[in-house]
Amino acid sequence: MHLLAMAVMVGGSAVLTLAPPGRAGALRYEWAFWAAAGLAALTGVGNIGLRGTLSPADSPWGGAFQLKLVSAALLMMMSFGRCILILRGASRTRTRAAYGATVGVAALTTLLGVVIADG
Amino acid sequence: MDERTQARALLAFAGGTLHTALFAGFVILITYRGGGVQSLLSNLSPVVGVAAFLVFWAGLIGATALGLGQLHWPPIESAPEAWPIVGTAALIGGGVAVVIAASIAGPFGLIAFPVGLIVGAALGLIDAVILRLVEAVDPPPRLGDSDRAALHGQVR
Repeated sequence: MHLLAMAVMVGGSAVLTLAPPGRAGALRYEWAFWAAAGLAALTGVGNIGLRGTLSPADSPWGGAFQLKLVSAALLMMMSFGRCILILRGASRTRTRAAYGATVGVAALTTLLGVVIADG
Repeated sequence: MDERTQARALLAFAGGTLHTALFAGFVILITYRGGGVQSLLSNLSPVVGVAAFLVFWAGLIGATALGLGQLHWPPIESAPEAWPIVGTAALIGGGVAVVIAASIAGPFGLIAFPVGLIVGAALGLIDAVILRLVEAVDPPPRLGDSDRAALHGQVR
């Protein structure tokens, strides 16, 4: 479920970076994005609970885990800005740049998720 | 649904989800660094944990919608100033904290008000900063002379 939510966020933003939609299409995607974001937060907290004992905060795993939390927070805050930008009817160039930035931060968050899942 | 209502619904959903995720992430980060995250989460059954998260998420979407209504925003072009956002979010945060705490601890829940006030103000400040950054990236169109004249009622 967590992976599915991240796939909607990363994959959807990647597609829209390559082929930016009109305002109506972008707004439809925003609903899907925020539903996926809420689901990712819910399942992310659940995954921590299911993991058992966690490595200490000063270990390499702990560093990656804290970085992932910060990266996920940055992704959400940046996406809220993108949502407002689209509601304001920003140009296609700015919309594409906002989706591109989302892909970058979402990919980093996913990568850190893979690191802590393996660690 | 008119455009303003649609915009307000999306902003409430997105903002409520943002606030839920930031709050949950902050609590996880602080308790993890303090060594208590396992005991916090292991005391919850998965069903209760999921239900609590969903109720909290829905509650913060509602609280964000309430805040947007208080600030009369949207229309999206007329973004509110920063301090009204922070003040409104602080008061609503205090109210949400009291409701949550009162449902657990009864009348003693009132002591949660200052905590909610601080959390709400912090989330409101984040919203205000994001809004200012968006305006810096995508500035509103500057008024031309004819627009200015129309605003002052000088057009014949």
